[in-house]
Amino acid sequence: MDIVCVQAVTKDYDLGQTKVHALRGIDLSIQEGEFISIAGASGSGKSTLLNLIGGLDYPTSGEIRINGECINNLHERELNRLRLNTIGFIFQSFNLIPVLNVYENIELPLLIMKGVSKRERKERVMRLIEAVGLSRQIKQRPSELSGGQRQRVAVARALVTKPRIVLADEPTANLDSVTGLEIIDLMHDINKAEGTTFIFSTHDEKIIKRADRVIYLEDGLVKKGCPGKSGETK
Amino acid sequence: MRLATLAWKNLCVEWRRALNVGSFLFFAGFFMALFTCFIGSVKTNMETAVINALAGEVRLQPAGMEKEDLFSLSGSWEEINYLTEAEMERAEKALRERINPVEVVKRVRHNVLFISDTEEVGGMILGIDPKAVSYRKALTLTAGRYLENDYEVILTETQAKNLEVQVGDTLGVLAQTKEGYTVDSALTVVGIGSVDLLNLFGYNVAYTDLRSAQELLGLTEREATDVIIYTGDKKRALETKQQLAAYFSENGLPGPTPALTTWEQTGGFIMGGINFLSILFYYFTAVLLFIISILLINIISMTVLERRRENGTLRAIGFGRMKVAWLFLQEIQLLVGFFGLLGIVAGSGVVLSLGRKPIEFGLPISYLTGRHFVFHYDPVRVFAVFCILYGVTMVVAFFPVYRVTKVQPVELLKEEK
Repeated sequence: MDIVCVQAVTKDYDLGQTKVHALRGIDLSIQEGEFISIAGASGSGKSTLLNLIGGLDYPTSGEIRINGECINNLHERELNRLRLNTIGFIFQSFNLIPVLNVYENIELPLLIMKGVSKRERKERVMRLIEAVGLSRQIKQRPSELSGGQRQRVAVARALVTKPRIVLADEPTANLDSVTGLEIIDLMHDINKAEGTTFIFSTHDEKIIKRADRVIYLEDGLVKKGCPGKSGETK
Repeated sequence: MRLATLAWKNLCVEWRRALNVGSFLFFAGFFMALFTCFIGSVKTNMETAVINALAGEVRLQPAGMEKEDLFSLSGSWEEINYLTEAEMERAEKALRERINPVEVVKRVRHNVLFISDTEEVGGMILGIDPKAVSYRKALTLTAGRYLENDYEVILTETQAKNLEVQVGDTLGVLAQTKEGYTVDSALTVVGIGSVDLLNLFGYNVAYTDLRSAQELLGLTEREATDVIIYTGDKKRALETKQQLAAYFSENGLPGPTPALTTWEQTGGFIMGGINFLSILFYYFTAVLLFIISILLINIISMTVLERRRENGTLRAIGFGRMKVAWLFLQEIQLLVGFFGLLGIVAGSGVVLSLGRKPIEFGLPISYLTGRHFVFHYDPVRVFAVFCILYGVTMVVAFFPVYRVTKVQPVELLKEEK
């Protein structure tokens, strides 16, 4: 079954007298465990698409299904639950909580997750800290970390709730090319090891090459499609 | 880590931001504590002045005088009523058997005409035992001394000025006895002063010794116009009054029972004024609180708006709106709990240190404070101020916090791009 299914999705923004058509009718589907890149120039609609898939925004029309469930009409509370349990987010500018250290930033989503004991919380966080290679920075705050280290924290935070999908909006945009590739490789390793679906947006060709499948967007439309669906298999 | 830790860390790490709201809460707490103690002190001091200067905690007077207001006493001699020897004897017995008063003062109130070498001025005299103590606490002397002997008088500053007399001068006094005869006397001015706190209400009474006043009204040594009972506890006034009333009804004499009034009833006109002043003060406090609320809303709005990205991140990772709002409110709660309380403690400290000795005030503030203002610290009032500050802060903080959390997470995250 498709873990993400997007059908005829449009998204318009009203900017006073002008209307911006960010997405003009997107169709695509993503299988569980895929490592997908959404590529396109700036303004092509990559972030908008990720926001809609992540339930951060509502489409103007069309339908988005996550794990078979249409999220268009979900109540805000149900969307919160979806974001907490099913989806992990990685942001371009890391979006870590500046006053919390590495451990606490990663632990943060677990604080509101039901059924996770304190012990399990600790185990999960420590395992991820080790996985992203930040064991020595555990007590450091984001301001004391490099860009790459910050994004590793963000990756760990996105994964700590064991989501089925991780959405990463230009996760390497604020990193140098070597660090960017390291982050993508880290995400890829986790994808292979855990089977977590990764969908990340980028316009960097080197990063794009690391993806199993690439979906190109241009002016709010999918530029090339995979057979029967949108997108292109690498 | 617990969620509260996030609030705590936000305050500790971002201490400049915390200090911004905190300092405002500190000063709000400080001034509110100071202001409320000032209002409370003015009210308490005025009530004490009413009790010490004219009403006692309970007042006993002839039957039918329950509604008599001290300030309404006109020059109509025929209206003068007094306690007979039998009534006085019964009252003394009741006080001995039922009450254990701190002080009992027999008084004779009468309208007289003061005659100096140059002027004639009408006024009210209050004859009391020269050794009475309580009145001295309320009457501030600007010259001379308190009463010690018979045929002495303490004039108010206004009376002394109008009569053009000084301490040591002798005044002629003309009055009409209860039988309607005119009688004159001579009193030596031994002091000049006034009950400052009652000046605002036009209280202008000359204190003289009981014997002189009795002679001017034609009363015997055992008779008086009223008896003032000091129990030392104004809250027990009603209870004392009821005990005396019960005694009188159990041990009735022929004729009507003497009237008993509490200090609140006796000083009715003044108490009305004091209550009006209190309402006025509380109105100003409410206005002050409203201004504080508006400023708080602005400060908190700015603080919360600065943190849209943090808000958006929390929402993106699964925090609900109310959860995020609660996180912000926890911070505000810690701020008001610490800085607000600190301000109130500081305000209390100032009140306590100011209350050690009287503060000198001149006109026109002395109308409210008296010339020697004593600050009273009232922990109950101060605690109430903290509760109000806490409640108001939490209520006003909720609106900007709620408004920001209402924004879609995608909008909050867009801000930083």
